[in-house]
Amino acid sequence: MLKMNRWKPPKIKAEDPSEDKNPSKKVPETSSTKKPKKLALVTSTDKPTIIKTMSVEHPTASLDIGTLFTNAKRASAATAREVTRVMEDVVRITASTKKRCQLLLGKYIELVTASPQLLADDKTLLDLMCPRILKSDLESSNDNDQAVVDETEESSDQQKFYSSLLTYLHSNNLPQNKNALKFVSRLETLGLVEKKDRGALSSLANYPGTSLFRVAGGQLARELESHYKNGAVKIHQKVKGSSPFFIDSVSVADGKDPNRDIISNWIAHKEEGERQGA
Amino acid sequence: MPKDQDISIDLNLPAIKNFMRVNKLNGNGWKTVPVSPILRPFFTFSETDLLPIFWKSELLKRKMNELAGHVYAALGDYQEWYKDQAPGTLITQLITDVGCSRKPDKNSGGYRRNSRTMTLFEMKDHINHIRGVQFDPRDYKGRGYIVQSTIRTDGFRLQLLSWKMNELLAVRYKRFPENKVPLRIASPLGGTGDYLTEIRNVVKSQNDVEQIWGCAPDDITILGLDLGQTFTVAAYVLPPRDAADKTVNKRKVLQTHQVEEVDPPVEEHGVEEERQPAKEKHTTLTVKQKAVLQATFKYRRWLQGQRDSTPSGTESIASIERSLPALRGPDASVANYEHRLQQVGDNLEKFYNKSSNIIKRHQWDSQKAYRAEYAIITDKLLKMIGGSAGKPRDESNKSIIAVGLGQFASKNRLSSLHSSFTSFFVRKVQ
Repeated sequence: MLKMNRWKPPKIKAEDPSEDKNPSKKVPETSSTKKPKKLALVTSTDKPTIIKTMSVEHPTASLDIGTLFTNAKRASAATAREVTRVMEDVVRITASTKKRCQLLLGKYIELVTASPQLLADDKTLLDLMCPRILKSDLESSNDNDQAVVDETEESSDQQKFYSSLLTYLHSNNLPQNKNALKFVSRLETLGLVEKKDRGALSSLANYPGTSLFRVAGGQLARELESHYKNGAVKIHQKVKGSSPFFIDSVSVADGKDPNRDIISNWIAHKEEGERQGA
Repeated sequence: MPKDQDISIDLNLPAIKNFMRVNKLNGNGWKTVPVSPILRPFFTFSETDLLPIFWKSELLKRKMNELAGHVYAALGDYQEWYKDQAPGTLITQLITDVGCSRKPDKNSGGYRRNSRTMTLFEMKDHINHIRGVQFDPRDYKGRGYIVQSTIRTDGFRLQLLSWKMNELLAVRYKRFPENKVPLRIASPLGGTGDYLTEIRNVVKSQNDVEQIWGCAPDDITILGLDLGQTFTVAAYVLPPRDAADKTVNKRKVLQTHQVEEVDPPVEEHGVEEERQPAKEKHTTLTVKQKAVLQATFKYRRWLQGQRDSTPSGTESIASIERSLPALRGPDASVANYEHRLQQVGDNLEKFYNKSSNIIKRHQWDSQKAYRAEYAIITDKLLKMIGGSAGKPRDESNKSIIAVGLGQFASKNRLSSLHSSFTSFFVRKVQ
């Protein structure tokens, strides 16, 4: 299905200020929006600061450099096997823990959203898992995909929450993060995870969870935000707008009967489309 | 569903609650929770994360201490030492040799020759040079890649994150005064993303052309590209006026031909060049989606075959996957899904993440073939205007590539390739 491309007039920029009818009005506007922002010089050689500033000046490219083992062998033949083993291990642990975490979150969401009323505790926890939809999200129409993801190393509360939760699932030690601890106790009450004795000896996992799940936690936070927050806005717009599943005053005009149920309306809509196609 | 169903979003409720409600109205079209595939995805690790992980292995710990030239007993001390090292030191010594200057490989081109590490002091100077008062982006000559301290891996393949030195974000985000910035249309400095601008906003008169390219409009070769679904690309070359006839009428004829000739038959390989020997010489090229996707189809067929196979008495992977309860739709239930996954998870895990990485190998091969198809098309397109991939353009050969920017929605089962090809092509060509 092709969407007709609509002609838009070219953007006309007044090159010559004398052409401007209201030069006095124009000047402050351009100076505030177009004024080139001069960034400050760097004084320290602190690694995180330098890395962050480099990312401000140059775009990041992801180089596809082949397989892990071949690369490790080229770097150092003596340690290649060990590096590959460790990395494989790390990826396996991260992948399986993340999957367990996703399913756990899914079960929790399924359980608490089934009832029409949310408990205050659950409300706080759901807000922790994904930030609220803002009015501005609903107003900006379809440009949500374009939103610039802030890839800086600073960790948000969400990231800390998820990293901590992933660490807990991996090591089975109760999380240090207060929010994650709150979530785990709620899961224990709901019977979604086994209740753990608070005084029990902590077990030592092979790899430190903070290293394994620092980035993975942030990734999970972003995934869930785009799924729930942006997803809700997208579905809302779809249901409200063009979808034949939704009847509103506009769709009644194209021959849909508001008294019929949605499925019959949809079938009618489809048949209509087929007739037109033929 | 009743007509007066409330579809509004309650801003006082958590986003997840809102999502679950509107998703139900939409026939539960979205999954209750996004679940990663069983085939392991890529994960990102920075050097800060890798230090404590590698420290756990005695062999790697020894190697790391060798690297430091000092035997550190505690991880904390090592991290303290590492703080002042160039980003990418650990990665280029242990994980890959890309970016490692001790072994320059003259035979290989591309990233292997063009990436390197940079010390923190060099980086500081570099940033301050760009941010200095004297800096003029038009004279900037940065090239190659600088290794960052981050890798991405799925346990089989490896990706290295790096800074692209031939682009300046300051130019893209207009942090320089307008008179200092080179024109987007004639310079790749501002970034080579797939974002394109409409030419009528940049070039408005003949004078503009002369200013930007330093030649008359008639001396420029124009390659017009039309992107679409069935035909990923259809191209037509409008030669400089010397080569064609010099009358204006003739040019109009050429333009109408362009429209007519978009749809010629395509030979099996999918890339065809058609030249008419007559007085008017037309060069066109069309590429069918079906041809570009052959490698992907081959991989999908192979994977389907593997999933369907039933080695002596066991259940096939395809039927195991079918038996997993839905995660979306009216019967979606994460609890049931997890319950079933616990029973069959080991089989799936064994199939997808075999130690031989066979699925990942095939997937990688198909991706390489797919990229190669794109590279062939790009090369052919550039040949049409007298260039070739990887060769700098002749100074005398002025050309513009015009890309149709029309957006359209595709409802076919195969995803349309036009946008992915555009981004590939634009990056490659610039």
